Amino acid sequence: MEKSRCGQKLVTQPRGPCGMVGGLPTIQGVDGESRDSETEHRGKEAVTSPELVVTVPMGELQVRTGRIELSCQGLGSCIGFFVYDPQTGTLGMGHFMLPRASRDPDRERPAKYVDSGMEELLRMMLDAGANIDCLVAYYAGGADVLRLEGPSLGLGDRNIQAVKATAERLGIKILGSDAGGTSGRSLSASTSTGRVSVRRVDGQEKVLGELQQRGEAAA
Amino acid sequence: MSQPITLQEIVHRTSDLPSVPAAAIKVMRETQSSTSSAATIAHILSVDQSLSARVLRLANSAYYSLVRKVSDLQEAVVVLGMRNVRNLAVVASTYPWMERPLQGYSLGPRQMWSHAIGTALGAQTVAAKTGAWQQDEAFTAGLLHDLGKVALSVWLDQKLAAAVTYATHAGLTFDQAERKFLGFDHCEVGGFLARDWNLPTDIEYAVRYHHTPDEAPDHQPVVDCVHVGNFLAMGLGYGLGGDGLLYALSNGSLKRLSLNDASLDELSADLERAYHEYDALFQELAAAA
Repeated sequence: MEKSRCGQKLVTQPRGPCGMVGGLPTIQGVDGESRDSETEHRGKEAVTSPELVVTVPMGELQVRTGRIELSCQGLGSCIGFFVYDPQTGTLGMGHFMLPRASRDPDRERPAKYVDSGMEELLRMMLDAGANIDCLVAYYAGGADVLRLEGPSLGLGDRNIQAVKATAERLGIKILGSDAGGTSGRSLSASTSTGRVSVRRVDGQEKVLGELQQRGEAAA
Repeated sequence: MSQPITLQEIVHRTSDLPSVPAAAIKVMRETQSSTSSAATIAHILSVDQSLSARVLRLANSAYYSLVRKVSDLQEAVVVLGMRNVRNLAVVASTYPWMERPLQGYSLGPRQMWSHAIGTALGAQTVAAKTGAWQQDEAFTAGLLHDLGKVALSVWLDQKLAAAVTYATHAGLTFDQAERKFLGFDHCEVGGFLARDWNLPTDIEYAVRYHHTPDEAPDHQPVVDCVHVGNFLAMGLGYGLGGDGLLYALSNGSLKRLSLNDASLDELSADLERAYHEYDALFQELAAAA
């Protein structure tokens, strides 16, 4: 019997672009500007390295499957947003700068903005075979300098609000976050450790959640 | 009871202090003079052969996309303009020590540099949008704004986490915590160094007051440009250390520059583009280092 929600048994599993569920890492990136531990990659192509470490630069997106670590380094007011489908093992990450595309629409780089970036990330996840009902997300960043006067919200707070509003609109469930305040952060998600974690510049590390394995999700 | 340490002692007891070559400082001053010319700038720089070679290498980098390579300094000044060459001289002079890690501030290799260039381009972007100051001078002031951190880092070693915790709980900014813990903040130390090196006063004031722009007694527009440029660079996460974003944004600066949240967002987007383009120069610097 097929059920649509995650964590329940499915007769058929969605398949990735390589026709596999999990297996070798597959790359989809905006601009292809990724820095890997072993090889630089561009466009959509299969990679055979079992332990890829991919840093997502500001204003860009990555969607992958397989054994991999995705990270956003040096988050100030920016948002590192990680989305995951435990059924297919599809992972996606975006490094967003500003809350709304309507203010400075850079159509070639939708990932500069939280709203258009999350929409594009969702599209890429679905193209890669993710199931929209299974997606779970974590985010970090949205820090701000102190504002001693005035009622206006800083960029970090506005980015956080935009993440919450866009996730609700797109139906993406957020399971954890480490956001706001004044600390710089890095967000990473690793299939090797099975963790989504945030590291602050002072070395403090916080685990936001565990990556639910495909087998566990289907059990 | 021990005497509190003085600012002079902090500077004089810090080994491995950075310096800016005399030729670069002379060029900074000369470009502000009404009598400066391509020949005088080239002559000043030519005294320092190492610096001259680095400036020529940068001038011929992919960043400027020159149709024809420039082969001597005077030609570089004519083709790029004396203000661009002046900035190249400062960039080439500061990169070797700015790329080093600063343990006291939890800054890894090249992070101080990333923050300095982010703030330089941020200050230049603010100056370009508001017309408040010469763009190239805002760039130079932004590049040098955290000069004091290089001297203060060793004194802050092992105290950073306590200073951040203290500041957070007491509702203080990090520069206020530095004053509490060390007696001085990195702005005061940087201002002292800038004066000691005989840097132009607009740069000295921008270094000294970049976290307290409302207190600047002179050259306030360039101080405001650097203050806001620094805010933009911190927001985009360029070279964030353990002090993070634990600083205050001055409403006074925003008012004097007629900026609001919408224009700050636009400036952030402009800075990200400018920083991205500067990558070509970074590559050239790394190769030349």
